[in-house]
Amino acid sequence: MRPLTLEKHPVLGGIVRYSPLLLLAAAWEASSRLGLVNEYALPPLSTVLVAWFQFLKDPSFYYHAGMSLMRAATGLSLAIVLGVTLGISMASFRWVEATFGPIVQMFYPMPKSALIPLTILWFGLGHLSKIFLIFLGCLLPMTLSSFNGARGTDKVLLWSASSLGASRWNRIRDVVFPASLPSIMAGMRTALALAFVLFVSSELIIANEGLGYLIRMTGDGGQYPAMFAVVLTVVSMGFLADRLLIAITHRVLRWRA
Amino acid sequence: MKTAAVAINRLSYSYAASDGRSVLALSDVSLVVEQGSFVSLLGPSGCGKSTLLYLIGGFLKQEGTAIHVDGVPVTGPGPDRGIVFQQFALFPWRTVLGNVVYGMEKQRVPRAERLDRAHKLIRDVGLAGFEASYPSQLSGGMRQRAAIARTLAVDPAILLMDEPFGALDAQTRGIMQEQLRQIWQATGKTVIFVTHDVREAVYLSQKVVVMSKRPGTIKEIIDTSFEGSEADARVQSAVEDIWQQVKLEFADAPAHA
Ligand SMILES: Nc1ncnc2c1ncn2[C@@H]1O[C@H](COP(=O)(O)OP(=O)(O)O)[C@@H](O)[C@H]1O
Ligand SMILES: [Mg+2]
Repeated sequence: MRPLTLEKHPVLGGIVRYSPLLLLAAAWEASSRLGLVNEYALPPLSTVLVAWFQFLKDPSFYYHAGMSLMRAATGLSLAIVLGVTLGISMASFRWVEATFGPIVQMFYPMPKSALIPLTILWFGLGHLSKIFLIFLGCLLPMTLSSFNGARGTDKVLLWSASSLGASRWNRIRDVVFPASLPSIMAGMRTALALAFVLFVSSELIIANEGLGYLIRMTGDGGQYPAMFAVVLTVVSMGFLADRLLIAITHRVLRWRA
Repeated sequence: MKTAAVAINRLSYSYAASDGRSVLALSDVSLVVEQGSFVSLLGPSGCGKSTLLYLIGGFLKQEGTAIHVDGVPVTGPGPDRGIVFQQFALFPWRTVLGNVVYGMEKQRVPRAERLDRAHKLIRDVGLAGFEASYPSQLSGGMRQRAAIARTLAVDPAILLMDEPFGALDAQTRGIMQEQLRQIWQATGKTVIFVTHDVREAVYLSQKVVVMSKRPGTIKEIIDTSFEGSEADARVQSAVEDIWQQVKLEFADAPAHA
Protein backbone atom coordinates (compact mmCIF):
# COMPACT_ATOMS: atom_id res chain seq x y z
CA MET A 1 0.00 0.00 0.00
CA ARG A 2 1.21 3.45 -0.82
CA PRO A 3 1.50 5.81 2.11
CA LEU A 4 -1.18 8.48 2.11
CA THR A 5 0.69 11.79 2.12
CA LEU A 6 -0.83 14.66 4.02
CA GLU A 7 -1.38 16.69 0.85
CA LYS A 8 -3.54 13.96 -0.66
CA HIS A 9 -5.81 13.44 2.33
CA PRO A 10 -9.28 14.74 1.40
CA VAL A 11 -9.79 16.86 4.53
CA LEU A 12 -6.35 17.35 6.02
CA GLY A 13 -4.98 18.11 2.56
CA GLY A 14 -7.38 21.05 2.25
CA ILE A 15 -6.37 22.34 5.66
CA VAL A 16 -2.68 22.12 4.78
CA ARG A 17 -3.24 23.77 1.43
CA TYR A 18 -5.16 26.72 2.85
CA SER A 19 -3.16 27.05 6.07
CA PRO A 20 -1.57 30.32 4.83
CA LEU A 21 -5.11 31.76 4.93
CA LEU A 22 -5.44 30.76 8.58
CA LEU A 23 -2.13 32.49 9.26
CA LEU A 24 -3.37 35.58 7.49
CA ALA A 25 -6.57 35.52 9.57
CA ALA A 26 -4.55 35.22 12.77
CA ALA A 27 -2.28 38.07 11.71
CA TRP A 28 -5.34 40.20 10.93
CA GLU A 29 -6.92 39.56 14.31
CA ALA A 30 -3.65 40.12 16.18
CA SER A 31 -2.58 43.31 14.42
CA SER A 32 -5.91 44.91 15.13
CA ARG A 33 -6.18 43.66 18.74
CA LEU A 34 -2.63 44.71 19.55
CA GLY A 35 -3.29 48.17 18.16
CA LEU A 36 -0.73 47.85 15.37
CA VAL A 37 -3.29 49.30 12.97
CA ASN A 38 -6.17 51.68 13.48
CA GLU A 39 -9.32 49.80 14.42
CA TYR A 40 -11.33 51.79 11.85
CA ALA A 41 -8.96 50.98 9.05
CA LEU A 42 -8.96 47.29 9.90
CA PRO A 43 -11.51 46.09 12.47
CA PRO A 44 -10.54 42.80 14.15
CA LEU A 45 -11.60 39.72 12.18
CA SER A 46 -13.80 38.55 15.06
CA THR A 47 -15.79 41.81 14.97
CA VAL A 48 -16.16 41.46 11.20
CA LEU A 49 -17.40 37.89 11.60
CA VAL A 50 -20.00 39.05 14.14
CA ALA A 51 -21.20 41.65 11.63
CA TRP A 52 -21.29 38.92 8.99
CA PHE A 53 -23.53 36.73 11.14
CA GLN A 54 -25.84 39.71 11.58
CA PHE A 55 -26.07 39.98 7.80
CA LEU A 56 -26.78 36.28 7.41
CA LYS A 57 -29.94 36.78 9.50
CA ASP A 58 -31.02 39.76 7.40
CA PRO A 59 -33.16 38.98 4.30
CA SER A 60 -32.19 42.21 2.55
CA PHE A 61 -28.56 40.99 2.50
CA TYR A 62 -29.60 38.06 0.34
CA TYR A 63 -31.51 40.41 -1.89
CA HIS A 64 -28.37 42.50 -2.49
CA ALA A 65 -26.20 39.44 -3.04
CA GLY A 66 -28.82 38.00 -5.40
CA MET A 67 -28.95 41.21 -7.44
CA SER A 68 -25.17 41.29 -7.83
CA LEU A 69 -25.03 37.62 -8.77
CA MET A 70 -27.85 38.02 -11.28
CA ARG A 71 -26.06 40.94 -12.96
CA ALA A 72 -22.70 39.15 -13.05
CA ALA A 73 -24.21 35.88 -14.31
CA THR A 74 -26.30 37.56 -17.01
CA GLY A 75 -23.44 39.73 -18.28
CA LEU A 76 -20.98 36.85 -18.19
CA SER A 77 -23.33 34.37 -19.90
CA LEU A 78 -24.08 36.80 -22.72
CA ALA A 79 -20.36 37.49 -23.11
CA ILE A 80 -19.55 33.77 -23.26
CA VAL A 81 -22.16 33.04 -25.93
CA LEU A 82 -21.34 36.05 -28.07
CA GLY A 83 -17.58 35.94 -27.46
CA VAL A 84 -17.27 32.28 -28.45
CA THR A 85 -19.41 32.86 -31.54
CA LEU A 86 -17.45 35.93 -32.54
CA GLY A 87 -14.01 34.44 -31.78
CA ILE A 88 -14.66 31.25 -33.72
CA SER A 89 -16.20 33.19 -36.61
CA MET A 90 -13.15 35.46 -36.73
CA ALA A 91 -10.91 32.39 -36.97
CA SER A 92 -13.13 30.76 -39.61
CA PHE A 93 -14.08 33.63 -41.90
CA ARG A 94 -11.56 36.14 -43.15
CA TRP A 95 -14.06 38.98 -43.49
CA VAL A 96 -15.22 38.62 -39.88
CA GLU A 97 -11.61 38.83 -38.72
CA ALA A 98 -11.00 41.86 -40.97
CA THR A 99 -14.07 43.58 -39.52
CA PHE A 100 -13.82 42.80 -35.82
CA GLY A 101 -10.12 41.99 -35.29
CA PRO A 102 -8.91 45.61 -35.12
CA ILE A 103 -11.82 46.63 -32.85
CA VAL A 104 -11.15 43.78 -30.41
CA GLN A 105 -7.41 44.54 -30.31
CA MET A 106 -8.06 48.24 -29.79
CA PHE A 107 -10.40 47.75 -26.84
CA TYR A 108 -8.70 44.78 -25.20
CA PRO A 109 -6.22 46.69 -22.99
CA MET A 110 -8.71 49.44 -22.11
CA PRO A 111 -9.82 49.49 -18.44
CA LYS A 112 -13.50 48.67 -18.71
CA SER A 113 -14.43 50.57 -15.55
CA ALA A 114 -13.69 53.74 -17.52
CA LEU A 115 -16.92 52.99 -19.36
CA ILE A 116 -19.09 53.13 -16.24
CA PRO A 117 -20.24 56.75 -16.76
CA LEU A 118 -21.05 55.97 -20.40
CA THR A 119 -23.08 52.88 -19.61
CA ILE A 120 -25.04 54.88 -17.06
CA LEU A 121 -25.67 57.56 -19.66
CA TRP A 122 -26.92 54.95 -22.13
CA PHE A 123 -28.77 52.53 -19.89
CA GLY A 124 -29.63 54.45 -16.73
CA LEU A 125 -29.02 53.56 -13.11
CA GLY A 126 -30.66 50.13 -13.01
CA HIS A 127 -29.62 46.61 -13.93
CA LEU A 128 -29.06 47.23 -17.59
CA SER A 129 -26.06 49.53 -17.25
CA LYS A 130 -24.27 47.02 -14.96
CA ILE A 131 -25.12 44.00 -17.05
CA PHE A 132 -23.95 45.80 -20.17
CA LEU A 133 -20.67 46.78 -18.54
CA ILE A 134 -19.99 43.23 -17.34
CA PHE A 135 -20.96 41.88 -20.74
CA LEU A 136 -18.64 44.29 -22.52
CA GLY A 137 -15.74 43.63 -20.17
CA CYS A 138 -16.03 39.84 -20.39
CA LEU A 139 -16.69 39.87 -24.14
CA LEU A 140 -13.11 40.75 -25.02
CA PRO A 141 -11.28 37.96 -23.14
CA MET A 142 -13.93 35.48 -24.33
CA THR A 143 -13.56 36.59 -27.95
CA LEU A 144 -9.78 36.54 -27.89
CA SER A 145 -9.47 33.17 -26.13
CA SER A 146 -11.96 31.57 -28.54
CA PHE A 147 -10.21 33.15 -31.51
CA ASN A 148 -6.80 31.93 -30.41
CA GLY A 149 -8.12 28.45 -29.61
CA ALA A 150 -9.92 28.17 -32.94
CA ARG A 151 -6.95 29.46 -34.89
CA GLY A 152 -4.74 26.78 -33.37
CA THR A 153 -6.95 23.92 -34.58
CA ASP A 154 -4.73 21.17 -35.97
CA LYS A 155 -5.23 21.09 -39.73
CA VAL A 156 -5.02 17.30 -39.94
CA LEU A 157 -8.14 17.14 -37.73
CA LEU A 158 -9.99 19.38 -40.18
CA TRP A 159 -8.74 17.31 -43.10
CA SER A 160 -9.79 14.10 -41.41
CA ALA A 161 -13.27 15.50 -40.84
CA SER A 162 -13.51 16.63 -44.47
CA SER A 163 -12.52 13.24 -45.80
CA LEU A 164 -15.14 11.63 -43.54
CA GLY A 165 -17.81 13.77 -45.20
CA ALA A 166 -18.04 16.80 -42.88
CA SER A 167 -19.34 20.04 -44.38
CA ARG A 168 -17.79 23.39 -43.52
CA TRP A 169 -20.39 24.01 -40.81
CA ASN A 170 -19.83 20.45 -39.49
CA ARG A 171 -16.12 21.18 -39.22
CA ILE A 172 -16.68 24.35 -37.22
CA ARG A 173 -19.12 22.67 -34.83
CA ASP A 174 -17.46 19.24 -34.58
CA VAL A 175 -13.77 20.15 -34.79
CA VAL A 176 -12.97 23.85 -34.37
CA PHE A 177 -15.27 24.37 -31.38
CA PRO A 178 -14.11 21.38 -29.29
CA ALA A 179 -10.49 22.07 -30.27
CA SER A 180 -10.91 25.59 -28.88
CA LEU A 181 -12.40 24.45 -25.57
CA PRO A 182 -9.16 24.41 -23.55
CA SER A 183 -8.51 28.01 -24.55
CA ILE A 184 -12.17 28.98 -24.08
CA MET A 185 -12.22 27.59 -20.54
CA ALA A 186 -9.04 29.51 -19.70
CA GLY A 187 -10.62 32.68 -21.07
CA MET A 188 -13.73 32.00 -19.00
CA ARG A 189 -11.67 32.01 -15.83
CA THR A 190 -10.28 35.44 -16.69
CA ALA A 191 -13.77 36.66 -17.58
CA LEU A 192 -15.23 35.36 -14.32
CA ALA A 193 -12.73 37.34 -12.26
CA LEU A 194 -13.44 40.38 -14.39
CA ALA A 195 -17.19 40.01 -13.85
CA PHE A 196 -16.60 40.28 -10.11
CA VAL A 197 -14.41 43.36 -10.49
CA LEU A 198 -16.98 45.01 -12.71
CA PHE A 199 -20.12 44.33 -10.67
CA VAL A 200 -18.47 45.64 -7.52
CA SER A 201 -17.02 48.75 -9.13
CA SER A 202 -20.16 49.63 -11.08
CA GLU A 203 -22.36 49.17 -7.99
CA LEU A 204 -19.89 51.11 -5.87
CA ILE A 205 -20.16 54.12 -8.12
CA ILE A 206 -23.89 54.25 -8.55
CA ALA A 207 -26.62 51.74 -7.72
CA ASN A 208 -29.59 51.22 -5.42
CA GLU A 209 -28.93 47.58 -4.68
CA GLY A 210 -26.18 44.97 -4.87
CA LEU A 211 -23.13 44.12 -2.78
CA GLY A 212 -21.12 47.04 -4.21
CA TYR A 213 -23.93 49.35 -3.12
CA LEU A 214 -23.89 47.75 0.33
CA ILE A 215 -20.13 48.32 0.65
CA ARG A 216 -20.63 51.99 -0.13
CA MET A 217 -23.62 52.41 2.23
CA THR A 218 -21.97 50.71 5.19
CA GLY A 219 -18.73 52.58 4.51
CA ASP A 220 -20.46 55.96 4.26
CA GLY A 221 -22.35 55.13 7.47
CA GLY A 222 -19.13 54.38 9.32
CA GLN A 223 -20.13 50.72 9.90
CA TYR A 224 -16.67 49.43 9.09
CA PRO A 225 -17.04 45.86 10.45
CA ALA A 226 -20.18 45.51 8.31
CA MET A 227 -18.36 46.94 5.31
CA PHE A 228 -15.57 44.41 5.75
CA ALA A 229 -18.17 41.67 6.10
CA VAL A 230 -19.60 42.58 2.68
CA VAL A 231 -16.11 42.62 1.18
CA LEU A 232 -15.48 39.19 2.68
CA THR A 233 -18.75 38.01 1.14
CA VAL A 234 -17.60 39.16 -2.30
CA VAL A 235 -14.23 37.46 -1.83
CA SER A 236 -15.87 34.18 -0.74
CA MET A 237 -18.36 34.25 -3.61
CA GLY A 238 -15.53 34.88 -6.06
CA PHE A 239 -13.54 32.01 -4.61
CA LEU A 240 -16.46 29.59 -4.76
CA ALA A 241 -17.38 30.62 -8.29
CA ASP A 242 -13.78 30.08 -9.39
CA ARG A 243 -13.65 26.63 -7.76
CA LEU A 244 -16.94 25.73 -9.43
CA LEU A 245 -15.58 26.83 -12.80
CA ILE A 246 -12.46 24.74 -12.29
CA ALA A 247 -14.61 21.70 -11.53
CA ILE A 248 -16.68 22.34 -14.66
CA THR A 249 -13.49 22.74 -16.70
CA HIS A 250 -12.21 19.37 -15.52
CA ARG A 251 -15.47 17.80 -16.57
CA VAL A 252 -15.60 19.54 -19.95
CA LEU A 253 -11.96 18.68 -20.73
CA ARG A 254 -12.01 15.17 -19.28
CA TRP A 255 -10.73 13.82 -22.61
CA ARG A 256 -7.38 15.46 -22.02
CA ALA A 257 -4.54 13.29 -20.75
CA MET B 1 -7.10 -4.23 -68.51
CA LYS B 2 -7.22 -2.76 -65.01
CA THR B 3 -8.92 0.62 -64.64
CA ALA B 4 -7.12 3.57 -63.15
CA ALA B 5 -8.26 4.57 -59.66
CA VAL B 6 -5.95 7.58 -59.66
CA ALA B 7 -4.43 9.15 -62.74
CA ILE B 8 -1.92 11.96 -62.36
CA ASN B 9 -0.80 13.83 -65.43
CA ARG B 10 2.14 16.26 -65.29
CA LEU B 11 1.43 17.58 -61.83
CA SER B 12 3.54 20.34 -60.31
CA TYR B 13 2.93 22.07 -57.02
CA SER B 14 4.45 25.03 -55.17
CA TYR B 15 3.94 26.20 -51.63
CA ALA B 16 3.82 29.91 -50.90
CA ALA B 17 6.55 30.41 -48.30
CA SER B 18 6.04 33.01 -45.57
CA ASP B 19 8.60 35.39 -47.13
CA GLY B 20 6.51 35.57 -50.30
CA ARG B 21 8.72 33.31 -52.39
CA SER B 22 7.36 30.00 -53.57
CA VAL B 23 8.79 26.56 -52.85
CA LEU B 24 8.51 24.06 -55.67
CA ALA B 25 7.61 20.80 -53.93
CA LEU B 26 6.58 18.65 -56.89
CA SER B 27 7.70 18.93 -60.47
CA ASP B 28 6.05 17.26 -63.44
CA VAL B 29 4.76 14.13 -61.71
CA SER B 30 2.82 11.60 -63.76
CA LEU B 31 1.51 8.39 -62.25
CA VAL B 32 -1.27 5.87 -62.72
CA VAL B 33 -2.51 3.84 -59.77
CA GLU B 34 -4.65 0.89 -60.79
CA GLN B 35 -7.82 0.01 -59.02
CA GLY B 36 -7.25 -2.38 -56.14
CA SER B 37 -3.47 -2.05 -56.22
CA PHE B 38 -1.12 -1.26 -53.37
CA VAL B 39 1.41 1.44 -54.30
CA SER B 40 4.10 2.92 -52.09
CA LEU B 41 5.61 6.37 -52.49
CA LEU B 42 9.21 6.13 -51.33
CA GLY B 43 11.75 8.90 -50.98
CA PRO B 44 13.82 10.97 -48.59
CA SER B 45 12.27 13.39 -46.12
CA GLY B 46 11.09 16.59 -47.77
CA CYS B 47 10.86 15.14 -51.28
CA GLY B 48 7.13 15.83 -51.56
CA LYS B 49 5.55 12.47 -50.67
CA SER B 50 3.03 14.01 -48.28
CA THR B 51 2.36 16.85 -50.70
CA LEU B 52 1.51 14.39 -53.45
CA LEU B 53 -0.77 12.43 -51.11
CA TYR B 54 -2.55 15.59 -49.89
CA LEU B 55 -3.11 16.70 -53.47
CA ILE B 56 -4.71 13.35 -54.31
CA GLY B 57 -6.79 13.71 -51.14
CA GLY B 58 -7.89 17.17 -52.26
CA PHE B 59 -6.66 18.78 -49.05
CA LEU B 60 -4.25 21.00 -50.95
CA LYS B 61 -5.84 23.04 -53.70
CA GLN B 62 -4.37 23.10 -57.20
CA GLU B 63 -5.36 24.72 -60.43
CA GLY B 64 -6.28 22.59 -63.38
CA THR B 65 -7.15 18.97 -63.77
CA ALA B 66 -3.85 17.15 -63.36
CA ILE B 67 -5.38 14.61 -60.93
CA HIS B 68 -8.30 12.36 -61.77
CA VAL B 69 -9.89 9.93 -59.35
CA ASP B 70 -12.16 7.43 -61.07
CA GLY B 71 -12.08 9.65 -64.12
CA VAL B 72 -13.26 12.77 -62.25
CA PRO B 73 -10.94 15.74 -61.58
CA VAL B 74 -10.17 16.23 -57.90
CA THR B 75 -11.57 19.49 -56.54
CA GLY B 76 -11.57 18.76 -52.81
CA PRO B 77 -11.63 16.05 -50.16
CA GLY B 78 -14.29 13.37 -50.28
CA PRO B 79 -15.29 10.16 -48.55
CA ASP B 80 -14.15 8.15 -51.59
CA ARG B 81 -10.58 8.84 -50.41
CA GLY B 82 -9.89 7.97 -46.78
CA ILE B 83 -6.73 9.26 -45.13
CA VAL B 84 -4.57 7.96 -42.28
CA PHE B 85 -1.90 10.27 -40.86
CA GLN B 86 1.35 9.48 -39.10
CA GLN B 87 0.14 11.39 -36.04
CA PHE B 88 -3.20 9.51 -36.03
CA ALA B 89 -5.33 12.71 -36.11
CA LEU B 90 -8.06 11.17 -33.97
CA PHE B 91 -10.53 13.64 -32.48
CA PRO B 92 -9.15 13.79 -28.92
CA TRP B 93 -12.54 14.78 -27.44
CA ARG B 94 -14.28 11.73 -28.87
CA THR B 95 -13.94 8.20 -27.58
CA VAL B 96 -12.75 5.38 -29.83
CA LEU B 97 -16.39 4.60 -30.62
CA GLY B 98 -17.15 8.29 -31.15
CA ASN B 99 -14.27 8.57 -33.60
CA VAL B 100 -15.27 5.48 -35.55
CA VAL B 101 -18.93 6.52 -35.91
CA TYR B 102 -18.12 10.12 -36.90
CA GLY B 103 -17.91 9.54 -40.65
CA MET B 104 -21.06 7.42 -40.62
CA GLU B 105 -22.88 10.21 -38.76
CA LYS B 106 -21.91 12.61 -41.54
CA GLN B 107 -23.02 10.07 -44.17
CA ARG B 108 -26.37 9.77 -42.34
CA VAL B 109 -26.04 6.05 -41.74
CA PRO B 110 -28.92 5.05 -39.42
CA ARG B 111 -27.93 4.88 -35.76
CA ALA B 112 -28.35 1.16 -35.21
CA GLU B 113 -26.37 0.28 -38.31
CA ARG B 114 -23.74 2.84 -37.40
CA LEU B 115 -23.14 1.25 -34.00
CA ASP B 116 -23.19 -2.27 -35.45
CA ARG B 117 -20.58 -1.46 -38.02
CA ALA B 118 -18.45 0.51 -35.58
CA HIS B 119 -18.40 -2.33 -33.05
CA LYS B 120 -17.46 -4.81 -35.73
CA LEU B 121 -14.63 -2.62 -37.04
CA ILE B 122 -13.33 -1.98 -33.53
CA ARG B 123 -13.27 -5.74 -32.94
CA ASP B 124 -11.56 -6.31 -36.29
CA VAL B 125 -8.70 -3.97 -35.47
CA GLY B 126 -8.33 -5.54 -32.03
CA LEU B 127 -9.68 -2.72 -29.88
CA ALA B 128 -12.66 -4.50 -28.34
CA GLY B 129 -13.06 -3.28 -24.78
CA PHE B 130 -11.61 0.17 -25.55
CA GLU B 131 -14.75 1.64 -27.16
CA ALA B 132 -15.19 4.16 -24.34
CA SER B 133 -11.51 5.15 -24.07
CA TYR B 134 -10.29 8.54 -25.19
CA PRO B 135 -7.29 8.63 -27.57
CA SER B 136 -5.14 10.11 -24.78
CA GLN B 137 -5.63 6.86 -22.87
CA LEU B 138 -4.32 4.63 -25.69
CA SER B 139 -0.85 3.62 -26.83
CA GLY B 140 0.44 4.75 -30.22
CA GLY B 141 -0.37 1.44 -31.89
CA MET B 142 -3.89 1.44 -30.47
CA ARG B 143 -4.45 5.01 -31.64
CA GLN B 144 -3.38 4.10 -35.15
CA ARG B 145 -5.74 1.09 -35.13
CA ALA B 146 -8.56 3.38 -34.06
CA ALA B 147 -7.65 5.85 -36.81
CA ILE B 148 -7.66 3.06 -39.41
CA ALA B 149 -11.04 1.83 -38.15
CA ARG B 150 -12.41 5.39 -38.37
CA THR B 151 -11.26 5.64 -41.99
CA LEU B 152 -12.55 2.17 -42.97
CA ALA B 153 -15.94 2.99 -41.42
CA VAL B 154 -16.96 5.11 -44.41
CA ASP B 155 -15.69 2.40 -46.76
CA PRO B 156 -13.51 4.58 -49.02
CA ALA B 157 -12.45 2.99 -52.31
CA ILE B 158 -9.01 4.54 -51.91
CA LEU B 159 -6.86 4.55 -48.77
CA LEU B 160 -4.25 7.29 -48.52
CA MET B 161 -1.69 6.57 -45.82
CA ASP B 162 1.01 9.08 -44.83
CA GLU B 163 3.77 7.17 -42.99
CA PRO B 164 1.05 5.61 -40.82
CA PHE B 165 3.47 3.39 -38.91
CA GLY B 166 6.35 5.84 -38.71
CA ALA B 167 5.64 6.81 -35.10
CA LEU B 168 5.33 3.23 -33.83
CA ASP B 169 7.97 0.97 -32.29
CA ALA B 170 9.43 -1.76 -34.53
CA GLN B 171 7.37 -4.61 -33.08
CA THR B 172 4.04 -2.77 -33.27
CA ARG B 173 4.94 -1.63 -36.77
CA GLY B 174 5.43 -5.24 -37.90
CA ILE B 175 2.04 -6.27 -36.52
CA MET B 176 0.32 -3.29 -38.09
CA GLN B 177 1.93 -3.98 -41.49
CA GLU B 178 0.59 -7.53 -41.36
CA GLN B 179 -2.90 -6.28 -40.43
CA LEU B 180 -2.89 -3.70 -43.20
CA ARG B 181 -1.92 -6.36 -45.71
CA GLN B 182 -4.84 -8.49 -44.58
CA ILE B 183 -7.26 -5.57 -44.75
CA TRP B 184 -6.07 -4.78 -48.26
CA GLN B 185 -6.44 -8.40 -49.39
CA ALA B 186 -9.87 -8.72 -47.78
CA THR B 187 -11.34 -5.45 -49.06
CA GLY B 188 -9.66 -4.97 -52.43
CA LYS B 189 -9.18 -1.27 -51.75
CA THR B 190 -6.67 0.84 -53.63
CA VAL B 191 -3.90 1.84 -51.22
CA ILE B 192 -1.41 4.66 -51.71
CA PHE B 193 1.14 4.33 -48.95
CA VAL B 194 3.82 6.90 -48.14
CA THR B 195 6.97 5.71 -46.42
CA HIS B 196 10.70 6.31 -46.29
CA ASP B 197 11.34 2.72 -45.22
CA VAL B 198 12.49 0.65 -48.21
CA ARG B 199 11.75 -2.71 -46.58
CA GLU B 200 8.23 -1.65 -45.60
CA ALA B 201 7.55 -0.41 -49.13
CA VAL B 202 8.74 -3.61 -50.78
CA TYR B 203 7.04 -5.91 -48.29
CA LEU B 204 3.62 -4.26 -48.57
CA SER B 205 3.24 -3.04 -52.10
CA GLN B 206 2.89 -4.24 -55.65
CA LYS B 207 4.63 -1.15 -56.97
CA VAL B 208 7.20 1.13 -55.37
CA VAL B 209 7.37 4.67 -56.71
CA VAL B 210 10.83 6.05 -55.96
CA MET B 211 10.90 9.84 -55.75
CA SER B 212 13.87 12.16 -56.09
CA LYS B 213 14.71 14.81 -53.56
CA ARG B 214 13.05 18.23 -53.77
CA PRO B 215 11.61 19.31 -56.12
CA GLY B 216 10.00 15.87 -56.09
CA THR B 217 9.91 13.99 -59.35
CA ILE B 218 9.32 10.32 -60.04
CA LYS B 219 12.67 8.67 -60.45
CA GLU B 220 11.61 5.10 -61.03
CA ILE B 221 8.63 2.81 -60.66
CA ILE B 222 9.54 -0.72 -59.57
CA ASP B 223 7.32 -3.77 -59.69
CA THR B 224 7.42 -5.61 -56.37
CA SER B 225 4.42 -7.95 -56.55
CA PHE B 226 6.17 -11.22 -55.85
CA GLU B 227 4.28 -14.44 -55.44
CA GLY B 228 5.09 -18.13 -55.27
CA SER B 229 7.92 -20.13 -53.77
CA GLU B 230 10.75 -17.70 -54.44
CA ALA B 231 8.89 -14.63 -53.13
CA ASP B 232 11.00 -14.21 -50.02
CA ALA B 233 14.29 -14.30 -51.89
CA ARG B 234 12.98 -11.85 -54.47
CA VAL B 235 11.72 -9.44 -51.82
CA GLN B 236 15.20 -9.52 -50.37
CA SER B 237 16.89 -8.78 -53.69
CA ALA B 238 14.36 -6.05 -54.52
CA VAL B 239 15.11 -4.33 -51.22
CA GLU B 240 18.81 -4.42 -52.11
CA ASP B 241 18.13 -3.07 -55.60
CA ILE B 242 15.86 -0.25 -54.49
CA TRP B 243 18.23 0.61 -51.69
CA GLN B 244 20.95 1.07 -54.33
CA GLN B 245 18.58 3.22 -56.42
CA VAL B 246 17.68 5.58 -53.63
CA LYS B 247 21.03 5.63 -51.84
CA LEU B 248 22.09 8.78 -53.63
CA GLU B 249 18.85 10.56 -52.88
CA PHE B 250 18.93 9.50 -49.26
CA ALA B 251 22.60 10.40 -48.90
CA ASP B 252 22.08 13.96 -50.12
CA ALA B 253 18.87 14.50 -48.18
CA PRO B 254 18.89 16.21 -44.78
CA ALA B 255 19.18 13.74 -41.93
CA HIS B 256 15.98 12.60 -40.27
CA ALA B 257 15.13 10.32 -37.39
N1 LIG C 1 3.08 24.43 -45.77
C1 LIG C 1 4.28 24.48 -46.39
N2 LIG C 1 4.80 25.68 -46.75
C2 LIG C 1 5.98 25.75 -47.40
N3 LIG C 1 6.71 24.68 -47.74
C3 LIG C 1 6.25 23.46 -47.43
C4 LIG C 1 5.01 23.30 -46.73
N4 LIG C 1 4.81 21.98 -46.54
C5 LIG C 1 5.86 21.35 -47.10
N5 LIG C 1 6.73 22.23 -47.63
C6 LIG C 1 7.98 21.90 -48.34
O1 LIG C 1 7.67 21.09 -49.43
C7 LIG C 1 8.60 20.02 -49.55
C8 LIG C 1 7.89 18.70 -49.55
O2 LIG C 1 7.29 18.47 -48.28
P1 LIG C 1 6.54 17.11 -47.93
O3 LIG C 1 5.56 16.81 -48.97
O4 LIG C 1 6.04 17.25 -46.54
O5 LIG C 1 7.76 16.07 -47.96
P2 LIG C 1 7.79 14.56 -47.43
O6 LIG C 1 6.42 14.15 -47.03
O7 LIG C 1 8.34 13.77 -48.56
O8 LIG C 1 8.76 14.54 -46.28
C9 LIG C 1 9.55 20.16 -48.38
O9 LIG C 1 10.76 20.72 -48.86
C10 LIG C 1 8.89 21.09 -47.44
O10 LIG C 1 9.82 21.90 -46.79
MG1 LIG D 1 5.71 13.64 -45.08
